[in-house]
Amino acid sequence: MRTTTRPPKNPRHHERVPLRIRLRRNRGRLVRRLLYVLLALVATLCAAAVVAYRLTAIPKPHPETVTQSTVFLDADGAYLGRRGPVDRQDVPLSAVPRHVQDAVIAAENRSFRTDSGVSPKALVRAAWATLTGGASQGGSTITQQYVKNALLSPQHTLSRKAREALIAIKLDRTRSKDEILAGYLNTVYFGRGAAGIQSAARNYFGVDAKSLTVAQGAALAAIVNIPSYYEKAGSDPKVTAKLERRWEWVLDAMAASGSITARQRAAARFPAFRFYPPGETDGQRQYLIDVAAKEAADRLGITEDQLASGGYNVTTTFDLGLQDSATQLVQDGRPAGKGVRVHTAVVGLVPGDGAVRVLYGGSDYARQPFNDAVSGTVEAGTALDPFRAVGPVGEPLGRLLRTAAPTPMNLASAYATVAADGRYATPYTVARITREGRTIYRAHPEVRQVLGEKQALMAGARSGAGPTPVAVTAGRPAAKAFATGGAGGGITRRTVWTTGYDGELALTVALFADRPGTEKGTTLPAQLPNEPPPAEFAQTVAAGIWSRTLSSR
Amino acid sequence: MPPTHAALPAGHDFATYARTRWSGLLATARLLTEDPGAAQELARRTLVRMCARWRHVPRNDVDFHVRRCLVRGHLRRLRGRRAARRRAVLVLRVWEGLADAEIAQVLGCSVGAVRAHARHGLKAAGADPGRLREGYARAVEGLAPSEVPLTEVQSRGRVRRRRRVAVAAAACAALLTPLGVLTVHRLGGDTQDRAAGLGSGGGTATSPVRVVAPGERVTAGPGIRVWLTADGGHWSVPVALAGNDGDRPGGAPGVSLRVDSVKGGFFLSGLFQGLNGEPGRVEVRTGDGEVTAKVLVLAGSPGWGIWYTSALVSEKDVKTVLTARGDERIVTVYDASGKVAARSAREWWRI
Repeated sequence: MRTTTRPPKNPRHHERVPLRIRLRRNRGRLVRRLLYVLLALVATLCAAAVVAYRLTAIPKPHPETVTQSTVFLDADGAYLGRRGPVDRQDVPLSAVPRHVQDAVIAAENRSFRTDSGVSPKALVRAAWATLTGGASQGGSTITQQYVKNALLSPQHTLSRKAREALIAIKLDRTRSKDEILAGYLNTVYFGRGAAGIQSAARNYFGVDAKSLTVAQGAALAAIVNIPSYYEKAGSDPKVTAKLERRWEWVLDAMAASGSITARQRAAARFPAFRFYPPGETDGQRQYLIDVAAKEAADRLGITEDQLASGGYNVTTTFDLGLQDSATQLVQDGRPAGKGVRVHTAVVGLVPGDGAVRVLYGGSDYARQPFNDAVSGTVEAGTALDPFRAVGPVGEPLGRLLRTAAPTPMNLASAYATVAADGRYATPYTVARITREGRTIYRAHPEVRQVLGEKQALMAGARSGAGPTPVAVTAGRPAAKAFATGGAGGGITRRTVWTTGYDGELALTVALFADRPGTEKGTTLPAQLPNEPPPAEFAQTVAAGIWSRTLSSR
Repeated sequence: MPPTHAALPAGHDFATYARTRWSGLLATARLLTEDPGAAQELARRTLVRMCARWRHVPRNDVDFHVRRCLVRGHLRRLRGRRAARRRAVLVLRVWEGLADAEIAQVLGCSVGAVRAHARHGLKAAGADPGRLREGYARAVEGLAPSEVPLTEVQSRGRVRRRRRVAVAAAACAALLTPLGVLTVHRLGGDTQDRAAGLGSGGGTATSPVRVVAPGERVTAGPGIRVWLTADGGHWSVPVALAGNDGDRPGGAPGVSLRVDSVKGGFFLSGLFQGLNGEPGRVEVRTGDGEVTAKVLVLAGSPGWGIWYTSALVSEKDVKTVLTARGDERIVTVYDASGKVAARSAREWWRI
């Protein structure tokens, strides 16, 4: 009986199930399909990333980050100035104290030592901070920043971001962390026009990177965040206060990670800064750098441009303190005449060695780049007479005697010869050249006997410029006798030469004057003005410098 | 019994549903399994499952969900066995009379797959749908009518539901606990940071110390420039007296004081020396209280440097300075920890 009641053709065969119900019934299947699509997408992306990684080559550092400036130092290592298009010098990582490295890592990328070039955690944290409005670290690792700064050209596109990450990963897999950190520290911008830790240490604290203290290192690490803002640290109280807060934060992070001890943390004081822009100097530095740069380039056999972008450290022979007092003395009481410009040149060098200690060749490099002390020819007049009287002399002193107008430098070296018992030493201004910690040039004095000892003694006696035997009680620098000669006499003096020497320094002060010539840009020699008396002025300058050298000995 | 479903009362509960549909369910299970015992078990298990999630079953689509639960519960144990799948398709199509699309929804596959299964199933059975239906009817006829074991189903369903709730709760807890701990930790860290920030802010006023390079001129007052070189401090003042305008540091701790006359007042400055590091603060006592002086030092903390007051001092105040008795100290230098490091002992001045 049941067989007859076959189920009627079900009406549902034709009736469509409502969409909502259909969707609900198929939900599982749809979700599964979506999952497959997603998986496929992820797999494709991964494959694409792998292929892209394989295809990505680590680019060469772009030229801007390879160029380095050349720094000039005085004999004691004090900073004289620099030459070059960028203020940057490479230092090996060993010259950066460990606590400075740790400070930068604490400030910029705490997982640097362990991450793989990119840090998803940092990315998420940065995104979270951006969303919630909290100020925190950026999402870039140190490796990524290094890639961005040093290897890629500055452009802000998404594809660049991806490329940056790929290169960062590749860099991290092919180079050691220390290499990356060294590259980063040497290229990252610290404000004040300074890139790299070495220039930053100079610009902010006036020290080399290797002498940075814990507090100074943490301050530099804090600056990296917004260098263009923090570069006014020191002079701007608001900036300084903000930097101090970030500095505390960096130090706290360092203490938390164990980079510094709790005691070091407690002892750290917010450091004092150099100001930016810095105070001006006496306008003398450029003369010194000019002379030293020319000589350094000559010694290395390269052009001055190559020298300027080569990252050399040129230790000169100059004594900055002596130079400073010479400048002060000259500029305080310089005679001035109507329509005449009085030039003063001061040269001080070490007898028997030739190292130039003082070189004053003009009041301001910006107005007169011509260096009177090295290139100015000044009528010798009676200044060379003592040498003419002692008979035949060897070269190059003989050549000097034949010229009517020697340069102050040449004349000083002649008197230095007398001071060194007849041994002539070629003057030099570059003592040592180093590059990335290696010495590549060291000056060796060129000395040769050009006067017999007797001749030297005679010339010294005739000039009267030698060391005067003075009583112990009267051992004052004023007792020093200076020989003053020159061309012209009385009120028609054209040049004045004042010279003094002892075993350690031969000092020459030359005074001459010129007036504008008939044609523009030319000058004619002129008479020295008589008020104050030029000879007296030259003597005052010489005595002043001499007293300085004695007190610093 | 053919699946002609009796209408259910509106708002029916599980018990009503189970009672009404039990026999139909049993018949379908019987056709799927071909074994009365297994069919009974399959139907009961299906009801247990449905009972456990009865609350979430859409009321306007209960039959579909029960059917799907039944078929899938059956197929789950015979996973990958094509014959069972074909059989299920045939049962759903011929006995239950479902459309292919609906069968596809039950099985979670495409309509095309359903058609292929049906085709192959029919070929394998070697019969047309009519004969097959008769065969099904015969098979079902042999089924002894039975009562639904409602109490057992409901109690097992409850157990099952509770177990599922427990598992879900555990999973949620496992996910949320680390998140919560992290949040609390971060909040705690934040408050600590803030406290540290506040603590450091309330220090005593320190002298603004400026590091200068040798020879770097600093304009300290009107027409006054001071600078340091390795051998001492230097002054360039508008009214210069004869003599050496420099001052050299000695070894023992001490402070010197000089007074320079400039337009609009007097400029106080001097050299301090013999400190261990940089000074924390330099205080200058003028007529109307103490003034914190500014400090210039060379790099590398040589322990000496120039101090100066940026504000000019009036004539009256200078007089009090000049007439100070020997035991009165005008300039006091404190070191970084706040201890007195040096005091002006004997003053010398220039006007």
